[in-house]
Amino acid sequence: MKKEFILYPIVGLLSLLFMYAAIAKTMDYGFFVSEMSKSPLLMKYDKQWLAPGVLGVEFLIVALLSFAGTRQSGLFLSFFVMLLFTLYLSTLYFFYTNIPCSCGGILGKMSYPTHIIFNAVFTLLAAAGVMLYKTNNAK
Amino acid sequence: MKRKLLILSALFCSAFIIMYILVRGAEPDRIVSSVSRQYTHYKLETLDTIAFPGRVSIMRAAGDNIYGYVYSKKTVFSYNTTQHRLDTFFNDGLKALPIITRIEISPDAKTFYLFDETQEQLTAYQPENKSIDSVSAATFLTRKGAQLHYKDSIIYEFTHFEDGGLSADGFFVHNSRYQFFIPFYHSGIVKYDPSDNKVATFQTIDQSPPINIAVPTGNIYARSPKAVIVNSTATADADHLYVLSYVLSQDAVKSGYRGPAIDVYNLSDSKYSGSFRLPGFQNKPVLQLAKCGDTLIAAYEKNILRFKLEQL
Repeated sequence: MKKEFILYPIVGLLSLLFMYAAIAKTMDYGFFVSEMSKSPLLMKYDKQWLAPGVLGVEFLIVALLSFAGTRQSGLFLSFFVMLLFTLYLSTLYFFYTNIPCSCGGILGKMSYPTHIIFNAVFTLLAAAGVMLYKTNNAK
Repeated sequence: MKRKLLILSALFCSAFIIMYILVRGAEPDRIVSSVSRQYTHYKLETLDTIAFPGRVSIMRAAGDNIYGYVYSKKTVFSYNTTQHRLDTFFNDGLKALPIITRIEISPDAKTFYLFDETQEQLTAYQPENKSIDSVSAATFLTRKGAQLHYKDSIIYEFTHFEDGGLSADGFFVHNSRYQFFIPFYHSGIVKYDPSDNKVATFQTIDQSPPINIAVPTGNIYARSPKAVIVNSTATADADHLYVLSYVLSQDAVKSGYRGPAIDVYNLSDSKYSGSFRLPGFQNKPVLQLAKCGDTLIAAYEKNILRFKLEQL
């Protein structure tokens, strides 16, 4: 019972985060693709596929977290995606000068260090959610 | 529990692998400037291509000859553009030099000065009579830490660099009148006139400041991973300085062009007078430039291309 008091807010926060991020990117899709095009790490990849791919994964995570039967998968995917975002931003921040930010909304207004810490915290939250999740929660 | 940890570990490793793949395929960092370059003042026409026996890390030209130092062969080769002949100009057989870091040619093209790693001991070579001397100073600018020297005098001190001169790293160019020091990592060019001992500085059009170049690590400074080369190489003739710049201007950003550009500066007023782009060659970067008359010479690693450069 106690674990659920921690788990459900984690799931809620992750759902909110990914829903907000996905909607913000969708609403300013042109800016999202334009900033992604400037990323030195993503130069070789076709943004026509990459951009909808990122959006699709974010919406998918929200959907997976919404249902008890798929929540664990959603938590695993949240962990993976947040870790990837954290590593991506850290690489840009520590090794590059010309660093764009293709995150939408308020996330794009954070400074890089703040954003990296924010992402790291959510990565840990997702990991905690995975560890707290019991398969009988799916019932 | 164990299963979850295993999956989390696998996802953790996968994320690092993906980042490694992204970093391996990443483009080098670039400085983006708010200026746009002017490409209407110069026209370039390819004349010919010369293959050297290795990567040309230093190149000079005088008269009909192009001199290229190939480190892997520890040899300076010379190519005569009228006879189309490549010869060995200087190698270990004449005098063993650990490494040549700079080559300068006297105005009459009779003496060649070969700088070693320290840039304090020069080897003066006269090919006509094959004489070789060691000299301690010649009539060229040298750099010691954060100072520029001419013969035994300090003629310029780099300000605001407390990192032992790391941020002042750069290279030398000269014509018959001026000597230039061009920094790799920012836009401040030093112009020295030995005839009247006058030092002047001017900025390249990007005006890149000296930031993100060196980072303190304990008691020493190290090159920052964010140090981005702004000026890669340059050459000069009697009236202009030609600087190969890796700064991305707005026109390049809009068109998606990612290569460098040569920015030209009038020596009379140190003002920008236009740019042009060198053509690509086998995806190789341009390492060195030289100018002889109206011929611009560019070393693309092992191949040297000659161009006719016309001012419109």
